Amino acid sequence: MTIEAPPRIAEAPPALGVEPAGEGARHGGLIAPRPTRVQRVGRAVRKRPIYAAASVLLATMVSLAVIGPLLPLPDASAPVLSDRLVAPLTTGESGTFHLMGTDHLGRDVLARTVDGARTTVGIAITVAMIGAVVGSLLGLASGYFRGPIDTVVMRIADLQLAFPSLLLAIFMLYVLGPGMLQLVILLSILSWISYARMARAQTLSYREQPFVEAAIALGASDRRVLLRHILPQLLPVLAMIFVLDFGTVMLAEAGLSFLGLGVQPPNASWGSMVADGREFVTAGAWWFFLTPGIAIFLTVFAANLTSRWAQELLGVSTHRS
Amino acid sequence: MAHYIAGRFMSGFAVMAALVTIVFFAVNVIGNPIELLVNPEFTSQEEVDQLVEAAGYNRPVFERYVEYVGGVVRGDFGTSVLQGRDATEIVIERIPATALLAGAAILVTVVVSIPLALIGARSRGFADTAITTVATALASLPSFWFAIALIFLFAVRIPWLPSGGYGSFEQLILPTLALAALPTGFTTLVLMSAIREEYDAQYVAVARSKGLTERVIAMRHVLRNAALIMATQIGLLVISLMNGTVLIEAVFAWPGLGQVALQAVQTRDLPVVMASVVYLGLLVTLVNIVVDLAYSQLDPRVRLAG
Repeated sequence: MTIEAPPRIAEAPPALGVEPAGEGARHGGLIAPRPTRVQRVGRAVRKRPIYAAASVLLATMVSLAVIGPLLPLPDASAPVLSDRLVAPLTTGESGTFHLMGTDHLGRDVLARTVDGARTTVGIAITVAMIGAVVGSLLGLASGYFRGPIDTVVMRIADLQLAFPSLLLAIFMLYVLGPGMLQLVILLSILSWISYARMARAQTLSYREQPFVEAAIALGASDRRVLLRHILPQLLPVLAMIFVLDFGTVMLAEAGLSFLGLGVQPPNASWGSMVADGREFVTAGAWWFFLTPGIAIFLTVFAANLTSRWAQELLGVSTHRS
Repeated sequence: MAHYIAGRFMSGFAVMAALVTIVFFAVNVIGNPIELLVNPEFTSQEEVDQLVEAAGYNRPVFERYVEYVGGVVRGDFGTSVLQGRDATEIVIERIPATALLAGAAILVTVVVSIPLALIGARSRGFADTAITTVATALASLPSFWFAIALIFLFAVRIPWLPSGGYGSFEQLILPTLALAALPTGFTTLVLMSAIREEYDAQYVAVARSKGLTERVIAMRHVLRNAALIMATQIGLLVISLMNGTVLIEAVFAWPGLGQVALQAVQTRDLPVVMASVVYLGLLVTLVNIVVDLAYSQLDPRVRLAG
């Protein structure tokens, strides 16, 4: 999905003689009081309950990575051979109740999925953060300095977008060898582009604005203008891209791990767990592949809806014509 | 127009030149071609030395690069280590299977997403929310997992369709659905916002004030412009479908390009890996050139500006 720079929403300057909004209530209610932050959030939630629910779901899935070990679930890593491939909602021979059944080694599928959140969510957040920092800085520099930096950065981005990213990742993992570090580096190389494009487009429009001209006129250095004046304006939009990118990275990591090129045993991500479960589908053990896949889907779905919400609230257009 | 076509081919050529170069230097400078060919744990030093001698890996990188580029131009990537056949041949013979799968998926995507987007764009409230949510859900599906779910439902639980393989129409259905899910979601969302923005354009207000019916406005004006946006989407769609085919072909044992690339990576068949990456790049580049040329025919603004 290509996201275009939003139209700049310039705050209208307060007209002379008009009290700042929010004070209006005192003047006989002629000017509607400016809603408080809580009221604004409340309105946004009432208008889009599904998006609000999605953002709560996203927060829940991400926090599983942290609070997972505190949940009352069976042990995720120790094999229990008497309880192999137990169906969901049944109690195994060992006397443990398995909500989502067990895998081929008798380990609780739900517990393993919760445990896998640490790897999966951890990788996705790390990669999205590296991509955000690198991409935003490159985009800021391209949009602000233009010229050769801009040409080089945008050419690299175009070149990368002209080739299927997953295949590029498979090829590079073949060259570098599998491993967590390689995986994070590679996914970051795929992730920086959306931040760079957005930051560039926004910077191009902001650099012509009076507040930037004023800062330059007052003698601010390029670095100061970029980091203190332009970057703060971009943060909301970059945060929206971050949420979107988090989901995209998670799908890419899941795909690579499913193919056996991403997260390697003994570590397990949701993608590699689906791969493990796949072999038992024809034997009828559907719960084994299903649960980690649902976890991927719900997290990515929640991230996509949340970013759509942010996009709607920020007024960003989603297509390139 | 000739200028535009020439420019488009030039940029396609630049992309391919960059890809060919990156592939070579990734293998020979970042990676170690010997380790990419054999597993060092199971190979003695003498065998490695023999391989280095035979393949000429002890020669300077630049010399080998020139030789490699010469080979690529002639379509010669060397011989498959595993099958002893020409790597190009192994890759080329897989193109029809991938093209069939990708073509079927594009068809499903277009046929499903255009009506969905139209209904979604013209409605407010429940229908809008429902279509947006469903499209976002489709765009969030891990395709490999969805593929396994389809196999479980329609091949294992209700044995209607085969769970894999290539050749018959029945075998095409499940892979197509699995591959089309994600692009259908994305395309619906993009088209929906495109159609909405078209309806906000001034020419729609003019058409309305002339007294044209909504039907004429939709068919004559809005959809024509929205179709242009759809055309630009096809190029992006093809690139993302190539990502999807790697996963879907792996699940359904579909003998396409993605499968041959993946198997070559797993078996360390370096010539086939390089050939499959370069030919995939070529395929995607050519499709994009064709799409852009078609687009320039549809939209006079492009060819006049170009």
